[in-house]
Amino acid sequence: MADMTEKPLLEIRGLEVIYTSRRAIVHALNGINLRLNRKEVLGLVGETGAGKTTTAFSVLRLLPERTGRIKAGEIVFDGLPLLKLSEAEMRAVRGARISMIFQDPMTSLNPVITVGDQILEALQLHNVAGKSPAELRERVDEILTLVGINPERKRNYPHEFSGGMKQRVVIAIALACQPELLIADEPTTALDVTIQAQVIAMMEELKQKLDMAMIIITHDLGIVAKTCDKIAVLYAGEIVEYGTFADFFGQSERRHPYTQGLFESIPSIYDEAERLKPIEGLMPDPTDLPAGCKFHPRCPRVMDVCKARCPDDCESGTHIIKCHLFA
Amino acid sequence: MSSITGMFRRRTVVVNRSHSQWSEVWQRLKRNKTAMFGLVVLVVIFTSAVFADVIADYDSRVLAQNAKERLQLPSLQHPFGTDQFGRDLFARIVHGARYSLAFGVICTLIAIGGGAVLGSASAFFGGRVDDIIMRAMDAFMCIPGLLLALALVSTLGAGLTNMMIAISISSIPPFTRIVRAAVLTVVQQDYIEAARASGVGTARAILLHVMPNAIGTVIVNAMMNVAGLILAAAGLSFIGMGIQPPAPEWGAMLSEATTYMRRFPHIVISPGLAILITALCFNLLGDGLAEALDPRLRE
Amino acid sequence: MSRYVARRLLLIIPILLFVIFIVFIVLNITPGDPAAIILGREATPAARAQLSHELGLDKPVLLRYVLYVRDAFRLDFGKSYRSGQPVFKEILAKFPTTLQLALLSSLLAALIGIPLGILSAVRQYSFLDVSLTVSALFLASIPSFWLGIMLILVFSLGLKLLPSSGIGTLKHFIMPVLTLALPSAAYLSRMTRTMMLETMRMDYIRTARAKGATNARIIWRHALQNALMPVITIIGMTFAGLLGGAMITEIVFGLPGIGNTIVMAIKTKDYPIVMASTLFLATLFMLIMLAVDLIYAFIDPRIKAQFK
Repeated sequence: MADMTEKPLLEIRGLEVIYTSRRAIVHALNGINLRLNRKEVLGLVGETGAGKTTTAFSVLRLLPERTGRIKAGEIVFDGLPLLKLSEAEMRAVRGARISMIFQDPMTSLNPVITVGDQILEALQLHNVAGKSPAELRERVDEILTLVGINPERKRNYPHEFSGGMKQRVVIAIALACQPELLIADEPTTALDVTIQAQVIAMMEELKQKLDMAMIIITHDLGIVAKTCDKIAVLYAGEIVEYGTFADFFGQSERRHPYTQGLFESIPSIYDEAERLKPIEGLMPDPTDLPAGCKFHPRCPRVMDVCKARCPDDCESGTHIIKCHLFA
Repeated sequence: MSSITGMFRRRTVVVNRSHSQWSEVWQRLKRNKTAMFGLVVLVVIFTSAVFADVIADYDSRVLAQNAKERLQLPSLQHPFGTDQFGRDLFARIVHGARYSLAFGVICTLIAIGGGAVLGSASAFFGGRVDDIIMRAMDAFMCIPGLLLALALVSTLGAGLTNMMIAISISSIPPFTRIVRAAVLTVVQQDYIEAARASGVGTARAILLHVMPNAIGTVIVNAMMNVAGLILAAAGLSFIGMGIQPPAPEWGAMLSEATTYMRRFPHIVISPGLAILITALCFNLLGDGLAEALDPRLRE
Repeated sequence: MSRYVARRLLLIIPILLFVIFIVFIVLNITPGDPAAIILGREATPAARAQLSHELGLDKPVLLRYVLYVRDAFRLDFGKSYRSGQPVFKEILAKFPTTLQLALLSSLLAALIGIPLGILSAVRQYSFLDVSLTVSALFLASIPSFWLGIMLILVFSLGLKLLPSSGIGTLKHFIMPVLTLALPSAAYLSRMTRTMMLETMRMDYIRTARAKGATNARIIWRHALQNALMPVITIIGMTFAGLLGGAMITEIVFGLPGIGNTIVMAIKTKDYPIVMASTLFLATLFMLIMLAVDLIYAFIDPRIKAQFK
């Protein structure tokens, strides 16, 4: 597969992140390995608290200063060791080479600055090529059109836009400098279902047009199915399953029990079920993780070895599952 | 799966302060050194006010004039020195604490009571009642507090109770607003509907749910208010419209002291410091409580 | 927009009526007799009765209230019991001093308080923050009259640098302004700090950071404008409060302003002055609040939109 020979755009190795508070240490990420090639779309799936947003923040080094700490690991972006860069060098990366969009468009925009100026700011911050103000403003118009907003509206304020339009503005800001990687943290969760579909369609379009790699963080398998080339399932700070679209949606025998649970909990429009089928139990307390496999307390196929030893990554081609069942 | 986890994600529930939460607040407060300092000093002041008669006999130390010992600088016998009438300043200040604390605390309690009644009535009945009460509160807030207190004292006459009434009144509007806001937010919450639907009396529902949430804001504002009233009461006495000499009220002491302050500054320093420290402690405590109670401002 | 302003201006009137009512009640709770005070102790009951009648004090309270309101509309606030001069003129004469005092003090308070508040917020939990917080609380706990006295002690009596009372030169204002400005600055710095902390936790700050903005830019361009809007209201309230609350400071420093006049009037039961001054201050308070709201409307695009 192209995987093996191409140099990856983004590589995360053994990333461990903790949050410290006066009361306890939260183990948010416990050794993550990820790999993303150019123009690939990776879906990062997991429940709330699994560590998806922490992963994204770590890439951009946006963890809260006082409480978040990257304990171990490496993040390499196009050959650059991100964790070793100075803050100034990192700022040059943020917004220009790697962009991020966040979950709630309603609060992600500064209410007292016009939409056009907010996009312009992204361009001004990274104006290495020394473009003239006029050229920058042209680019603002360009990008607005790209996301489907009339450029005349650049003098409007965020409150004059609807939720879906706001999200487009957020995307416009992220894409203004033509980043090589876009991280989208639950881009559609806060939106209506119909708007969701629009935004996803737009992101699909952009993916084609812009040669951009994306990491889409979501808990919605439906979105993953529509857009992603590769998928990683996050549970309690670990990647428990990782593979291509085909690995996930093409078959159902080789699956991590958690992933299986996720699939089964989606209500089907065709079946006549009486009850929903959630996964029993809750995600473990990150300050007090269980021994052995972190999923074992909830696993319907748990074995003795699961309680004692952490499973290794079991590889089968491009498909990696962290489970004793497939050892 | 998206629907299920989605359900638990975005629910914002107004939380009732349970016992464990109060102890958590106390824990956080304990970590705030300045607030704890304020608390400790406050306890000292309170105790000495309560036991003032034990510490220094009223008649012989506070009131008795002793021309021989006039205007002495601080010494072992007179820790704060003596004033122009030969009275021991330390004794006077200790006794004076009673006035300031009484004014600060009691007047604030009166204001909270009045505010609670008016605020809840306003929020509960709404409509015209709400309008009238809030307009009245607006009117009161337009009048400078000190002015109102002054006018009241002048017509009611000097004296402890009159002064207390006068000072309390200007503090009522802020508390009315706080209580009204608290009752309103709760009245509009869904779970009040639910409570009503399940038969719980509305008044009882409001009481159970409003109180815990509002109490935090009320307590913090109360602390700041006490500090402010201590200053206000001293100010009134200072200009001669409050407690009159020879009572050892700190503000009155200051006004007597100005005549001699050029050559004997110590008689002006100790009463002022007393007022300052007492008010400061309440402010420190209030500020500490504000931070301990607000979950958003911490990390 | 002008309709909104007109409406607000009209709304002031009912509140003012309430204010007059309140003061009337307060001043008439006990029948202290101004006529007796004016005429002095030796006056005969007959003379007192006659003066009472002349001043209209023998009419029932409610009637006097209505008459007062009627006269107030014509800007006739009666004559001072003490000086016999029209009240309106007297108040107007004393107003500039208080205005200057309040203006200078508010300005100084804002100049000191706001930057310190921002600094405190940006360096939260640092030693600077803690010491600024304690200093602010300290200043907020100082009795203003004591601060005034202490300043006089040091600068007038001790160092003989500044005059201790009266007006005339800028020097006369230095200590009174300091006395009023410092506690207000403390309060402003606390409020600014709180507002900044809240703003810095907003999502759009995170967006700015993800864009690659520097810390300085985030504070300057994104946080400040949002954080300072509520602070403007507080500055307005500070200014309004200083107009009416500088009484004791005016007395300590012997400044012939409105505060001083009011206290004198209350002590001598010169009711027309008390009534009119209160009315005056209340009106100013509301006008200032209205002005603040209008400023808000100009700088916050969300509110501006409501008036388009």
